[in-house]
This record gives sequence, structure tokens and C-alpha cells, in this order.
Amino acid sequence: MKKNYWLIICILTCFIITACGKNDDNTMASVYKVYYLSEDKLSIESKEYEIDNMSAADTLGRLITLLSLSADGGNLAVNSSAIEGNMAVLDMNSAYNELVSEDRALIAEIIVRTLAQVEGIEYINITVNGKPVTDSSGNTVLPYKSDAFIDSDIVSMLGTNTDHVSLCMANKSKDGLIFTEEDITYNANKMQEEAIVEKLIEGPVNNKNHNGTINKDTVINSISKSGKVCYVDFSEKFFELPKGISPDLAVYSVVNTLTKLENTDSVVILVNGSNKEGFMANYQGELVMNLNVIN
Amino acid sequence: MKKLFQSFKLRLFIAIVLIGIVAVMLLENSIIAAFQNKAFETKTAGVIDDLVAVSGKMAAEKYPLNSSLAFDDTLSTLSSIYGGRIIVANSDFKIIYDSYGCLEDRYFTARNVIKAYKGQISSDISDEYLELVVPVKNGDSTLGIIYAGVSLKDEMNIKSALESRADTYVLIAILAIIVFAAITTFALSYPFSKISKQIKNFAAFDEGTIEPSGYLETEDIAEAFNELKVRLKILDDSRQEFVSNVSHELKTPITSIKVLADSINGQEDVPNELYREFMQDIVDEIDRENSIITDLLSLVKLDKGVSGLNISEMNVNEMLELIIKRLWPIAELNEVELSFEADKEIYADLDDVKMTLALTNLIENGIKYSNPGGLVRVILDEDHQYFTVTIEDSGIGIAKEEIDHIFERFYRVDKSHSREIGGTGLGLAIARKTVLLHRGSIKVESEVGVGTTFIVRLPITYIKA
Repeated sequence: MKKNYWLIICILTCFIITACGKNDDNTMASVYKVYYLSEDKLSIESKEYEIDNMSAADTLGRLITLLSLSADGGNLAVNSSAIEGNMAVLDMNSAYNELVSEDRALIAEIIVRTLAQVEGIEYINITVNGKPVTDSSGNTVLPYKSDAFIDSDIVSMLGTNTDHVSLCMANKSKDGLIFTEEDITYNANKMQEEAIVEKLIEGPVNNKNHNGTINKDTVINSISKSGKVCYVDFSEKFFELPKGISPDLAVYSVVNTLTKLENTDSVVILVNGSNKEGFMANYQGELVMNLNVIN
Repeated sequence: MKKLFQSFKLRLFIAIVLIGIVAVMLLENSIIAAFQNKAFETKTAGVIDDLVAVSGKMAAEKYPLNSSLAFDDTLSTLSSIYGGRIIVANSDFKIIYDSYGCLEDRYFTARNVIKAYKGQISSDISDEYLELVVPVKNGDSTLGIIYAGVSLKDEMNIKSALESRADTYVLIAILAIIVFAAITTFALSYPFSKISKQIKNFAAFDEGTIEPSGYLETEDIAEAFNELKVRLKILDDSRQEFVSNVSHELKTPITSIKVLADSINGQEDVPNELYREFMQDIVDEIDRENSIITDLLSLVKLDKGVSGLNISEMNVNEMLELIIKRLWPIAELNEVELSFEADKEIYADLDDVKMTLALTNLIENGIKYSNPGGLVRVILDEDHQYFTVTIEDSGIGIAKEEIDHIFERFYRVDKSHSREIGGTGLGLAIARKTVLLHRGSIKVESEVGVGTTFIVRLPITYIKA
């Protein structure tokens, strides 16, 4: 019976909001995703709705209605909602506190992902009967940031990272290094440093003003960080330099690129675990950025 | 080029090579896929063992609950061993440890994380990473999850090294297959090459036999060819015989003429009467020569086949009456009686000239081989779509063993009397050929001393082939 009341209320609210929306503004509409719990309750899914452009508060109300409609009811209900600056506050009934941990996490995700689409909203605070929610350790759950939940994708459960980085490559005449800005996209399981060095090995794409400094067949055996020192271990192909590239350029293209990152001050380069062989004998220990080779 | 591809050997060769290459490729791929699966399985099992061990220790210390630095070293070591990322989330799905140090305080609710939280270890493999989630359980309650993104770079490197080595072996195998295919192709097609060589040899030197060898198919070819050879031989023999017969027949009158002329030349003051007599003999011989040549020409014309026929509707009764009228003087000369019997008028599609010649030959033969006082009956009858002309004589008859040969060119039953009886020896051959061209049949019944009957059966309406 309770479920039915919930439904009727929702539909009524929906009508009212639709009517208001039409009076307000009917010039444009935007597409919003409304999330809901999957049938097996192991993940969330989404459905797209077109909502006429209206005030943030009205949009929020509309989304909450749609959420309620698509949610698998139970005893869960929204007491009220409000926008306080850049934060949306959603007050739930006590059923929210009674949810098991995984369900509560997914419901929170549904609410955060759906409401984060409202313009100007950066935080979402979920309260129960006006009181803050506490976590399993008894601490108060702070308002969720709009990107609090990690985006999984097909590539990885952690998703894909896209960073804007500076790469240090050889200039056109191959007598010095030059920084170039580029966007790199990589599996979130990969260290940023590894993705960057892979990009260095790949060399410039469609850019005649830059030249690669590392043999394209070089393999990164391992890459790790200890404090602010980055350790890079290449395969022996690293010794086979591209035509016209000096060891200085190869080594410092790696060092300068990595030390350009905030958390890295120096770099140790190894070839198959050693830095005693070949020209690497001249580049012992922790190497820091060398601006002398920058053109 | 097209002709080259039509070669059986080339096609066989290509087929064997293709099948071999496909088989080797499939084998290579399945071996590498099996290796990869095994490698991934082993890796997964190893990582699960590590994580389960760590999670056990964590549960004992209630680590995800009481965030402490105690496990950070272990986890960061694992992270660098795996060449990937380790994440620990508590029971609120809040990340409390990230080996890359940037996801702390965010929430991790991926499907496999929820599954793991509910107690099920879950794994996912992409090309680059193995992703595993293991629950941290303390009795019945779940304290959190450990996630590991493990780099599969080593496995992929081994796989690509394996692939490049396998490619070398595949290349060697393909070369071996090509050699094998070449040898097999040669061996399999050897009987055909052999037979073709033998036939060519026969064509060039007109000798040797085709030895059946190898396959049933080549045996068939050899058999068929040997049959053809026998028939060619028979044809060749009969042609040679024919040429020698023609030469002989043509030479006989000329020899007579020469003898006659020489004997006149050799005598002095030959009486006029003798001259006249010899000259008459010479004229007779020339006539004979002429008739032989005429008959030969008729035969040659008949050899042209159906296209040489000039068919029109004829009154057969009138035709036969005319023939008998023409032969009447010869019959009188031989003191033979000629009779013609016909119940009704018959019209049929015939080549007038050729059929007249054929029937004339048959009736003339009857007259010539009849004894004086004999009777030659010509009976015309109709039988549905056919009509028959029966020529019955009461002559010397033909021996049984000779009957098969009488239609051969220049064949004479009675060689000793051929000269007196005259004729060219081509009459029956011409008659038979003409009847066959009209799609009819000719039958002989004979008894020595009693007489011979020729029955010619011809279609009333000419049937085109």
C-alpha cells in the first residue's frame, strides 16, 4: 500500500512540475541521465530524459521525481531538497540509514551522479531527517563531490585517465631538446610516468618540428617511484639511438619530461637493471632537469 | 596465364599449400592462445593467493576500519611487483589506500567491487591488465575490498617473443609444405604425365603402346586410347587395301590396252578386220576404265555424307519401272527374265540420281549372277512408315562366309569370273552407302546354287538427323 501512495504522489508531482516548466521556459531542452539500480543490485544503470530548460531548483526537483519513479521504491523516500550555493541537499527518510552498506553506496552513487548534472552543483549532501549521515566507523559522511565516484569503463574498472602533459623531444635539427604539450590517454592502472615515457618512445605524431629521441622498439621493463625519485628500466634497445640523436638528448628527454611532473625531482635510468653499461656509464645516479640541452 | 592456372598440377599444388598453411596457422594460433590462457590463469591464481593472504592479515588487524600505515609498505611493494595499482576500500566503499596516491577519499562502486564485497572474488582481463577484487572478511562481516590492477606486460612480452619465434617455425613449416606439395603434386600427377608422354611418343613415331599405370582413371585413358589405336589401324589398313585395289583395278584395263596395242604394233600388214577387232577390244577396255572411275567418283560423293543428298518426293514405282526398262537389254543378253511386282503406288523422299544408281546396281547384279533362263523378281511393298524393294534372283548364290564382305569395295565373290561378268566391284558398296544415307537398311539372304535376295528397306519420309 505504501508503495502505491509513493507512486501516486510522484506522478502528481510530475504533473505539477511539467506544468510549471511549461510556464517558465519552453525554448530549449537538455538531456539528463537518470540513474537507477540494476536488477541484480550489483551496479547502476542509466536512462536518458529530455528536460526543458528551467531554474536549477526546478531541474533538481524534476530529477528527484524521475529518480523516485525509476528507483525500486522500498521504504526509501525523499523528505525535501534544496540548493545551498554550489551544494544540493537531499534529505531522506530514515529508511536510508537502514540500507545495507553496498545498497547505500549504490543509492548514494545514483543520487550523486544524477544530481551532479544540475548546473552549478559541485557538492551533494545527503541527510536523513535533517541529520548528517554517519559511516560504518561512526564518522560523519562529508558532502559528496560531484566526481566522488570513480568512473569505470570497458578498459578498466578504474576507467581511463586523460592528462595534459609536457613532453621533451628533440628539435628539428636534432641538436637540442624542446618541450611540447600533448594530451595522453591511458589505462588508469598504468602509472602516469609509464604512460608519459611510452609516449616519448612513440615519438611525435604528425609533427615535423620534433624528433623522437628513443628507439621505437625500446621496451619499458619497469618503472617505479620512491619518494620523489623515479626509476625507469629500459630494454637494451635503448642503446640503439635513432639517427642523429646523441645519448645526452635521449637521457635528458626522459629526465626533463619526468622531472617536469610535480611529484618528481630526479630520475634514475637503468638498462636491463644496470647503469654501468654503454653510454649509461656517463649518467650515474639521480639525474635532475638539465636546461642546458633545452633549445 | 589463364592457361597456366588451368594446370591440374598447379591447382593441386596450390590446394595442398593452402591447406597446409591454414593448418599451420591454426595450430600456431591455438598454441599461443593456449599459452596465453595458461599464463593468465597462473598469474590470476598467484595474485589471488597474494591478495587473500594480505586480506587475511588485514582482517586480523581490522585494517580497513582502523586506517593505519601498517600495511602501506606491503601494499606498495605488491603494487610495484605487479607493475600496477593497488586500491583498498572500506565497507563504505571509500578508498583508504591507493598505491598511486591520488584516489583516496573517492568512492569505488564498480560492479566487480560490489560482487567482491558480497564475498565473491572477481577478475577481469583486458589486453594490458588483470583486474582482481578480493574481499577483506572478518568472520561474517566484510571490512572492505582490495583491488589489484596487475600489468600483463611480462606475459604479453613473452607472448610476442613466442609469436616471433613461432613465426620463424611457421615460415620453415610453410617452406617444408611447399616442398612437400611440389613432391606430392609431381608424384600424384606422374601417371598422367607418363600417359601424356606415351601418347605424344605414339603421335610422333606411330608406334608403342600405352601402358596402363597408377590410377583407375589413367587405366581408362590407356584402354580408351589403345582401342582408338586399334580402330585407327583398321582404318589405315582398309585405306591401304582400298588404294591397292583401286590401283589394281585401274591398271588392269590399261595393261589390256597396252597388250592389244603392242600386238598390233608388233605385226606387219595387219588385216583390216583384225585391226577393227583389236580396236573394239581397246574401246571396251577404255569403257571399263571409265565406268570404274565413274563409280569411284560416285563413292567419293557419297562419302560427303547427308549434306550431299538432294532429297525430293519421288514416285518409287515409276523409278523402278524406268530402271527395269533400262536394264531390259542386259537381261535379254543374259537370257534372264525380269519381273516387277507392286500392289500400290508409293511416293517417298529420295535422292533420285543416287537411289536410281543404287537400285540399278542391285538389279544388275541379280541379272549378271543369274544363270541363263533364270528369273529376277523386283517386288515393291509398303510397311507403315517404310517401303521395301526386294530383289530376288535365282543365281549362283553367295557362300555364308562371304556374305559379310560383299559390301566391301572391290570385293568379288567369284574372283575367277569377275572379268566375264564385268562390273567394277563397287556396285554393292555404292548401293549400301546410298541406302544408309537415306537412313534405310539393306539385308541379304542367300543360298549357294539357289539364289540371292536383297531386301532394301527405306523410310517413306526422309528423317533429318
